[in-house]
Amino acid sequence: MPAAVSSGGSFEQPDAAQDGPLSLLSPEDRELVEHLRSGDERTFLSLVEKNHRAMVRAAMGFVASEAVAEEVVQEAWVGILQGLAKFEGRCPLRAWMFRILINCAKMRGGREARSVPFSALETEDAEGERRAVESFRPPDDPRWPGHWAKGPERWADERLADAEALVRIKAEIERLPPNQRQVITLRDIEDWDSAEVCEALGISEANQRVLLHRARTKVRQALAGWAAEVTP
Amino acid sequence: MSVARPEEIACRQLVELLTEFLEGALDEPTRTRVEQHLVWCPGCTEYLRQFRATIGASRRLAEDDLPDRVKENLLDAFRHWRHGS
Amino acid sequence: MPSATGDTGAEPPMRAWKFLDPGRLAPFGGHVWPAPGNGAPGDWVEPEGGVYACRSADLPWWIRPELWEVELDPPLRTLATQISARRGRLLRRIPAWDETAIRSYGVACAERARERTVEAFLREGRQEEAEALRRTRSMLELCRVAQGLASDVRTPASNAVGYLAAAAVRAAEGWGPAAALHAADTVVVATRDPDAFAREREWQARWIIERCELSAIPVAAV
Repeated sequence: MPAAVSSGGSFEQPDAAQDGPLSLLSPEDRELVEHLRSGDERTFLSLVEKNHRAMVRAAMGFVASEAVAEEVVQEAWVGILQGLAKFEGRCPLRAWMFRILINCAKMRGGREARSVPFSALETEDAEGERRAVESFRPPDDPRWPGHWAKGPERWADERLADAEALVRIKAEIERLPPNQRQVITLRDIEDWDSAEVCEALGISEANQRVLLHRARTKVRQALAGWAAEVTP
Repeated sequence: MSVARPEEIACRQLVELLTEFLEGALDEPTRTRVEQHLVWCPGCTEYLRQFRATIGASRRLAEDDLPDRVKENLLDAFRHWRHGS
Repeated sequence: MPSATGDTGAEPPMRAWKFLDPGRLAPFGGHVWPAPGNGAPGDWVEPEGGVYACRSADLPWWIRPELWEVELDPPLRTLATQISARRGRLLRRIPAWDETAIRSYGVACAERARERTVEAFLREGRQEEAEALRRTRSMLELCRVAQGLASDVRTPASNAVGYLAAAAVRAAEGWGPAAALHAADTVVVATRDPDAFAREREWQARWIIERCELSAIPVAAV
């Protein structure tokens, strides 16, 4: 798990002592950069593979489709490689990579006349057929306003261990609005911490938490009907 | 006429606070209210269990699914860059 | 116990109660408290958010499957329903607190709520309903009868009996804390007295203390 980074503001470190370039980077990052600069294909592919899904998801917040997002990711890699020689290591490698990616995504999104501020990208959910399995009592209930009317049915533990659970989670994440999909992918799948996500996507902690919560709530709900079924 | 006490929280409010709760982002009074509610409420206890289980399961989706076509394109770009610089 | 504040500023640790999940698991912090052994207390645990524990009066708020006597390292912070310190350690488990005790606790709370509800029906001149409630022989039966009487909330007795039904069903399921909460609500509504909630919590605390014979051990005062 990547080390936690202090919240608020950029990752840039103040001017360090002249220990040489890349001295501020973690040992892992420094090794990655050195291998890349020396043209090591294996390092490059490994980095690509580890970050591919996260990069596509991050790009999808700004462009119209996954296909375009894939193109943006490839463009970003070109930019990353070209910028490698000048990379000073004042911030972690991944943060720098994602900044380049987001810039590409924004420019690409802009070119397609889709320059919408991030917070306004909350698209309408295309649901309605999925009915909630649980419900709350109304605010004017005489005894228990806001309490469970029909509470969540207990999940069988083995359900979540099933491969089918992952299929359903993945499907529900695909259905999320792009900004919720970005955040839940980076936080819950890729295991980034919240400061890294805020930095990469340029959003506040509060905003990030709201998006994450909505996304998680929907995914849980999508699992609820299936996970509660008792196999005979 | 309900006995709703201001220092208590209803289930509907609690489920909205769970992400903040799990991150330790709630102030102490609110967190205490959430915890006290979880002591007695079977519905919210189960909901939190499910919420956590969902997060845990999502983590298992982290596998490298790089399409071959993309891999080829990027390798090309890499070799191109390597020979150019 | 006299406090020994010397030049080192050392104060003796304070004793208190702590509920944990099975396996000495902190219910919300998620960390495990080290077990005591060979007559010695468990190792100090110092989680990031601090440790929390109960004075005697706080017990009903925090019920979990395991009850332990703990030591907290001063300085202590006093909150509404708990005390907090930077670190704490386990002294001994209270064996009398188990699933059976939790279930009995719930039943005792529901029974008490039933008495207050019966009294409320009698005050309203509703002998039949009072008798129907009195006659039930199990928590499930009490729930069924109470539920049948709970269709409106217009009088204290009618309102209270709805909470009583909830207390009874939770007591039947063994959900002690839920039964206790609904039972306290029943009494508030049956007696039309908001102060009744605090009094019921005090009664519930005393029930736990007596059941587990906790009064013999001095703990941090309220």
